[in-house]
Amino acid sequence: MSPASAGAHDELRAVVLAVRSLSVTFRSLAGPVEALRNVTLHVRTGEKIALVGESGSGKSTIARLVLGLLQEERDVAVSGSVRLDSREILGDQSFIREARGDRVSMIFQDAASALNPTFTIGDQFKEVLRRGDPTISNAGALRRARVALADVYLHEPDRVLGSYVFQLSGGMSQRVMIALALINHPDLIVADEPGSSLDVTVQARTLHLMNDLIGRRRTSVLFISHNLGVVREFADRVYVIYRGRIVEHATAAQLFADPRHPYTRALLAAIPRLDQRGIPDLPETIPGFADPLIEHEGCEEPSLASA
Amino acid sequence: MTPFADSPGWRAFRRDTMAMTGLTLVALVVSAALFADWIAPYPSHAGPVGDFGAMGAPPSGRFLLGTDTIGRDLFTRLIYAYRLSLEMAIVVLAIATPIGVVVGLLAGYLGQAWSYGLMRLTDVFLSIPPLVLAMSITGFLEPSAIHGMIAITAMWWPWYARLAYNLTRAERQEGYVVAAEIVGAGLPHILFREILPNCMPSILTKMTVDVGFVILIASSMSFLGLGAQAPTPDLGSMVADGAKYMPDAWWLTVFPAIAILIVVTGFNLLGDGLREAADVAR
Amino acid sequence: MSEAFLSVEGVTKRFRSAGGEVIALEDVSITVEHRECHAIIGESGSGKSTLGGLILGLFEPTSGSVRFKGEILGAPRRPLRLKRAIQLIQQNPLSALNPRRTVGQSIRLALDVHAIGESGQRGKRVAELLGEVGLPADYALRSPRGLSGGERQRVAIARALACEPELIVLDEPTSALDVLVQARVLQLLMRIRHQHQLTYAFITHDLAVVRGIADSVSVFEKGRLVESGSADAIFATPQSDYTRRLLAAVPVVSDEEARFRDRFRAAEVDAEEAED
Repeated sequence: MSPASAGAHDELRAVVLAVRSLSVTFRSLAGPVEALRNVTLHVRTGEKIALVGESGSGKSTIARLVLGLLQEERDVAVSGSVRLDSREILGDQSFIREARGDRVSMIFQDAASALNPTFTIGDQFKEVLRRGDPTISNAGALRRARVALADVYLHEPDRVLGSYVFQLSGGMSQRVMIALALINHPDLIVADEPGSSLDVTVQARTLHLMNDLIGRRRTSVLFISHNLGVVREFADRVYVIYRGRIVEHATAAQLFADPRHPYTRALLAAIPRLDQRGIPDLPETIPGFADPLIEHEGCEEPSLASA
Repeated sequence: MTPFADSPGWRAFRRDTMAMTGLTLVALVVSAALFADWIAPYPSHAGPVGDFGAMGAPPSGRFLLGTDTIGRDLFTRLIYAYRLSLEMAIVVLAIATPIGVVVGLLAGYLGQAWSYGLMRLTDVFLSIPPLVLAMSITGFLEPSAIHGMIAITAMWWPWYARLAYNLTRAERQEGYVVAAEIVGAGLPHILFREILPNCMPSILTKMTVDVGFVILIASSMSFLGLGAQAPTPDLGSMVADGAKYMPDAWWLTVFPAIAILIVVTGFNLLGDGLREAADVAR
Repeated sequence: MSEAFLSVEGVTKRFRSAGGEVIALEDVSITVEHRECHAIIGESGSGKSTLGGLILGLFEPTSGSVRFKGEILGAPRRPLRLKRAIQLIQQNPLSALNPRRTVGQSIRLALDVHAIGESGQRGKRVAELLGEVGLPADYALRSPRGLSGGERQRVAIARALACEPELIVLDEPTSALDVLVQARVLQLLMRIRHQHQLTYAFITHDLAVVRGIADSVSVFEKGRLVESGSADAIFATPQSDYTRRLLAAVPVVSDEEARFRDRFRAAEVDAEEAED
């Protein structure tokens, strides 16, 4: 479904997001936790990049960091570099706060908890639009909001604008989130497990819509997911992350046709097939994974061998 | 399993200044009460007779906090008053808590008619102002320490019923309760072995803070003459008796009042600290 | 067997809620044969969890009946032997284990309630059960808090097995687990089913999982039974539009599966356009 980006054009497209040697350690009451270890990745204009991992892999940490939501907390040690449009984010709170909602926007897993329950949808559109254009009038904002809602196939825009989040269905509020994320024509969208809380038919329609809308613009997407099937439909390039480290990086076509890393192969092999009976028969240990840090006592994340 | 001293809950507690202050104050009060017979300089002054040669004496080297109108050492009497207060608070809570918790557990788990009936009964008790209830009960029976305790117990259990009810309603929907039902466990097991242990942190925290409040209510009652009678040393009565002699013999009111402040604040801070630590431990 | 192992006959279930009345299931009839793995498929609001609740006896049907080996299943009170025969594995392993009881205590509860084995031997039985689900015996002393999601789910399986049940209702047992963990737990569930000759009522929304494990299938939409039959038949030629739409929406990772699935996508697009 997604066009594989031709290698020749790659170098010509500007880099929107450049993460280099990023390491993040959390200081917790139980001791230091390395959430990310030396992560390097990049996103170019118009690309859809997927970051795939299981729970505890650190993928959400990257999302929060890129959105500038992490540095505001204490007990976090960050090293390395994260550049958005060639400007360094780390250590520069003001830049990322300005950019958020305007140059970089987000789509979260659960619309109901990401959108403010005490404001109407219309109010939230006004707030987001003002981040992009502080001079915009109320009427102007509502006009643009109506257009945005039409783009996501939400008919009856005035009813939606007057509603609160809890009055909308899951699929509808997800579309509202997409509309909000796109309205200021951001350079980058960070999508953290979008639609994963929706029914599968609704999710499919929503992702199809996202694909459509984003494809028409030059917006880049950093798409974080644990669902390889969704990644296959949506991404141009894929990074596979395990325990804070990138273990594989390939175009979507390459990754699914010929996965290199044993972890990636295990992930793909573990998904039951739609066209055959029988469940995958995983080996006891993943070959090539003699990492002693895999066995981590008392940690929420399942280790491969003891899963 | 990490040893207690290393557990995140205890470490968080240790870092909390307020909580440690509370712990210190409580430790002081409890030690004073426990070791009263050894610490008190004039143990006999806890009774009806003092040192007639030193009646109404201000604080000095001989009598640390002064003496009262019949020459009894204030410091001694306060220590014994602490003992009385703590004993009373423990007895009240030891009776009120189980009654309230059982009522709340049943109402919260059984729902429907049970919940309605039990909680309305609870509401009846809660709707009567505490001191009015206490006064009615001690009006019926003669004022005394024991009758004061009965009155306080009667007004205290509903708070635990309400707490247990809310906690149980929350736990009711948890997977492990459904699992126990499906395995076939009986009602007593589900209430006391499955749900109650999950309510304990909140209940214990509340009990801790309540020690201070029970003492406060009891002091209010004895201030009005409804609690322990003379010559028993009691914090509230001492404040009341001493108030007549303000501002000349100021020590007779001020020190008992500070004593009340110390014990209520101490248990309050300790209880708050426990609540914070319990959250961390989760 | 002339009569079905488990049969749901004309069951309707209505719930009263703040907004009025909700019809969770409407005139639903299905049968599950002995030793089958029967998948109950649906999205949110389909009524699949309600059906599970009825089988387990959490509540009674508004009308119709559920029969187990010919015997009507009442609710919420049931004879202990029937409770023992029908067990549950839940979706959320975190909530399904009491954080204030050790793993061993949670498993042992079943043994104590049904007086299985001699009291002195039950500790050993707990260790055996832990071994069956691939966990070391010393896990009995641990609190569920330190365990990973997959480990907790294994404990839940051990607890269900402790009752020596005949039918297990599994309510989205792997939906909250990571992909690798899910594969392991599914392996375990299938192995146990064969070893103990169990019948499964497997509730899920994940069609790939269903394809992997189910013998027979029922598809639910908004409280109604849309389609039911053997898994092979339904995946090869689904009769209803809704089933086709479900199949068309599944994200897959290989070209072969995409070709299989895309047959249903043409139909799906037509349906969508008809909707707009």
